[in-house]
Amino acid sequence: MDVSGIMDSLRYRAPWQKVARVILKNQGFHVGQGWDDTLPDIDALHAVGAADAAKLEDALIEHLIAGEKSLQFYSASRENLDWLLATARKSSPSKHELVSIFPGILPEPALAVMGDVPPKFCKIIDTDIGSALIFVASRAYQKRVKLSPDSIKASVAGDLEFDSIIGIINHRAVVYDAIWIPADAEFAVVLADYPTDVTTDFPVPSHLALRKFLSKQLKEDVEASNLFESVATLYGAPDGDLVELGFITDDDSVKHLKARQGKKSLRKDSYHSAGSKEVGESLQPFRVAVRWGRKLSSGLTSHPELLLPGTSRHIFGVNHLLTEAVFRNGLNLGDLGLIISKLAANI
Amino acid sequence: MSELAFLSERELLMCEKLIEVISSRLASRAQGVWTYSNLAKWTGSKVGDPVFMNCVNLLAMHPDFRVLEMHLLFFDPEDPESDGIPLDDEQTAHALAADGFLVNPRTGDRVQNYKSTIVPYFKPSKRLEDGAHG
Amino acid sequence: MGEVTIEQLECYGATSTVARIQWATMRWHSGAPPCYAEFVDVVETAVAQICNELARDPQMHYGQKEDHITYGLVGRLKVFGFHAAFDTTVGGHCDVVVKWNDDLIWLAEAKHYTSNSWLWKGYQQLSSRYSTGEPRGSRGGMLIYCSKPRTDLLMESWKGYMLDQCSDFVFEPKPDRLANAFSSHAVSNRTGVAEVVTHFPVSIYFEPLDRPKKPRKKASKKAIR
Repeated sequence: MDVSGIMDSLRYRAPWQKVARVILKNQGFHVGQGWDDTLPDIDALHAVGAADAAKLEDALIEHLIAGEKSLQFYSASRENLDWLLATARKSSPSKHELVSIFPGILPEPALAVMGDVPPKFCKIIDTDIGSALIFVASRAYQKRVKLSPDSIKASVAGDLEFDSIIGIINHRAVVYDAIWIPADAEFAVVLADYPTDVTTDFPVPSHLALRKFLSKQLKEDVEASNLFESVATLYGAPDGDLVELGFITDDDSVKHLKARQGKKSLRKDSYHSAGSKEVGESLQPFRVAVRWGRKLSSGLTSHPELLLPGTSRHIFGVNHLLTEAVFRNGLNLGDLGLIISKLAANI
Repeated sequence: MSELAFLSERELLMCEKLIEVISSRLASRAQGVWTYSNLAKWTGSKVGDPVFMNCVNLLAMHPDFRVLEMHLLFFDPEDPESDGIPLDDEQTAHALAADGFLVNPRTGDRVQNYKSTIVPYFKPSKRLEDGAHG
Repeated sequence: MGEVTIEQLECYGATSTVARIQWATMRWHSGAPPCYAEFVDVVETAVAQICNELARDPQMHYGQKEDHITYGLVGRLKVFGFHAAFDTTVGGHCDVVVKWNDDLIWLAEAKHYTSNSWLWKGYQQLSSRYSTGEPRGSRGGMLIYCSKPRTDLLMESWKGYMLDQCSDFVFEPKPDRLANAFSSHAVSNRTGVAEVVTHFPVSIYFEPLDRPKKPRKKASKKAIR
């Protein structure tokens, strides 16, 4: 794929500050203030030679697999997983036209013509640390955008005064999902694409489709692992910054704390640490997000973030099943490996 | 002539009130977010009252009495649920420059009408924090 | 969003000269330092504002020593957020030094208007002894405390005197800064860089019109003879 196609795809998918910037810097590119300040310099390079372009494409593909995802874990025997991989390596990609754009994107008018497309098998990527089956889909979603009240004042009759106005825009997105099978592990991870500006049900069709795929390939009905035990584990672990926490205490009130983006860990927050000392073991967490800093070989740092989005119903109710984890700001497979290592004990 | 001789009595009283509020918030666990609106509320003032504005600005700028530092929060118009993203030093410098701009940390695109999406807030200056913990 | 935004602060900054100065220095303090042109513009706007404030209370300053008035002026510059100092050492003693990041500098010399030659001494001190002659130190000011009436005539006289000392001066009126203010353009003796000094006349003339005049003395018989 040419460099401008790679850049378009990266721009479309990767959060700028925490991911795209780091990917580009990690590849040795000069990064300006935002995309519009960065791309002209890269274009002017013409000389992004074949080797550099290939490295950039590899970085994009790793991000397609690992970046902005909703995760579900499925246990399976190693034998069955190896068999699944062997079959996938022999399979041809789907003939659907969407597959031909990998790892790129399509403009919305072209996607609109196709309509919704369920996940189509695209290719398999083998690495030292695991293998990824990549799928591509197309899905519509609604995006909420805040509008300035002044911008519609002229067209609204009467004396209506608004404090804020939310607009709804219908979008259609190219969706890259993956099934990641870590080397030597006895589970597979379904990574459903989950952009930051979509609703919480966006990844559901991908999860349903890929669970069906796994069940068919493994010849048994698979069920997503319960990750709820990991909530307490992550909360109690000393590493990483605790950036979100939902919990209840003995008085049955439900509390939700969130550290502002880019700021300190809640573990260091005086309000929380004083409170948690006071209530001790009666603090029961149900929702937790942790962010880690992972040093890259270039000296830069990635900041993968994992959210286990439980609700208080997981504690109050009978059903303690939490099957989803949300993975944000993932740069590459190294970040994915880190996140998986935090959950593996409870899978 | 005293360095503060130019301040009116109302301004001196307002400065006292602000310092009192800031000191008590610093000591307490619930520091809150020190926006202009919150500081006005805590001192019983109004944003836009020149006396209040002059005093907040003095406490944030006077080379000898600086106890506040201004920082910026970005509210992404495409993310109505956002709690506000603190801007780092580089982003702040670009946002406040005379011909400034802001790059949305999420999309990497320049934010249209960015000045309406940024809320300034204050934190204790290093001098104040050192004094409080010293 | 009910909070005050940068846009609103900017609008507030346009409501008065004081607000404009404060908004500029607030931005600089918060990590967006100025270029030299902006720095000079805001410093001189602030100095002019303070001169107007001084002129509103002439009875407070009439008869005060130069240093006393200047010290208060420097204090007021600090209230505006400038790194200002009085009587520091920059190639000698300098009445007012305003700096930013040790990189941008604006100097001023303050003098009571007792005579043009006295002002000229101050100007020479500013120009030859204190000004660095570097581009980011090429602007300065003369603060001229006028305790005599008719500031306009005093300034014309002063300009004439300056031209007598050096015919190369070029003057530019600055009524937007302060009534009867002007800037003088010359070339630095040190580095050959153009130096621009803004002359701020501060009227502290005070004679209340409602004060009863002293009765005239009767002419003596001796004088008539």
